[in-house]
Amino acid sequence: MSGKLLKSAVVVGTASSFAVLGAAADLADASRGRLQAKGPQLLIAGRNVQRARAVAPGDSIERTIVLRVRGRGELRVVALAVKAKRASLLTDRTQGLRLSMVRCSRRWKRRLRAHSYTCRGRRTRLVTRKPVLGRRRLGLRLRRGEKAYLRLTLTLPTRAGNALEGQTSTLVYRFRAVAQATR
Amino acid sequence: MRLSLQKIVLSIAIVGAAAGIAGLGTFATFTSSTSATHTIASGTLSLTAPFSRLGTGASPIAAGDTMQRAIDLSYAGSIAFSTVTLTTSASPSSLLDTDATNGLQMVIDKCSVAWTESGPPYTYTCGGSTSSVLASRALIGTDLALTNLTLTAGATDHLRATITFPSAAGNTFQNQSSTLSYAFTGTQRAGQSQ
Repeated sequence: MSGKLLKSAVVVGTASSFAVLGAAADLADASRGRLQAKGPQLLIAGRNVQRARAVAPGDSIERTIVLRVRGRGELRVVALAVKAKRASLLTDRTQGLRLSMVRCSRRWKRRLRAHSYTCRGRRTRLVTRKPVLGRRRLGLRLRRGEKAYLRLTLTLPTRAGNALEGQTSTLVYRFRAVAQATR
Repeated sequence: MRLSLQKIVLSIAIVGAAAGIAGLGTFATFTSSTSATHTIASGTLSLTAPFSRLGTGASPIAAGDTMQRAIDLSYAGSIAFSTVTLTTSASPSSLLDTDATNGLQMVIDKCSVAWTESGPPYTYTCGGSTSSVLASRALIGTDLALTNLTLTAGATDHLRATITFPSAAGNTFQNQSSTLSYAFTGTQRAGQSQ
């Protein structure tokens, strides 16, 4: 191996190290006098989604959620996991609630005199009428300062029978994100 | 000397590259999650008959006779009703219910207040206003639409069924017997956005 080639290798190797260390330094909590790794954080606006009461078969429950990133860096929202904190027949896979999720490039606009929302931007379907409980893959990229305007729609199928009367479920929507490598 | 320099430079290169790879690996494992909770409760609807004379039979009956029976329908629950239908059936069955022309006929009226009952044999008068719930027709039917009902939770509709044995019924209707069932079914409002 010649000296010239080795020199090139050294430059590439150290440059790569600096780039990564630089990104890591952004994540460090310097105020505490120690190096604490801290990636960009995914935040959700409003941790309690408005409750839905007296739901009947055929009803649609529309709610909006806004995701954003705190800190430097970019996140990829990879999954939505929905679990039942309080389960009931409403979360039954066959007769129970179905979940859809759509992203709008702009803030969702609520229709007058209705609990429904319209998108005046570009729409992207993320989940389409799946049983509400479970883990769904998403592919949302969120840069610093960017927001993801999501609309969740829960539908109780018209075939839901009398057994689903007077039931209550509390759902937990958990979005999971991974940090994207700095370019 | 030249060989030693090469070795040192090579070592630095390997360390640098290793640090880079380690850094990338660590960075890639950073994750973040956030969650929100949401409570959903389904509603109820309940249709009951707190008062009913429909179970009271009539025997013997002759062509031209009428029988009046009252029933109250009460609505409850958190979901509004859109319709109430009536399905009638007979078991055991006879010519009284299978002959749609000369067999038993039924009409249902509603009174704005409770019917005033006299008898037996039962007859009813209305101290308020009356309206038609089901026009005259053959007694047996499926999912017959009832009209002019209140359908509001907490309300009660006061109904009177008048069953007529047509005077045109011939001798073949003698000594027949049917046991009738009346099933009132309430249906929820149409689906809506919540």
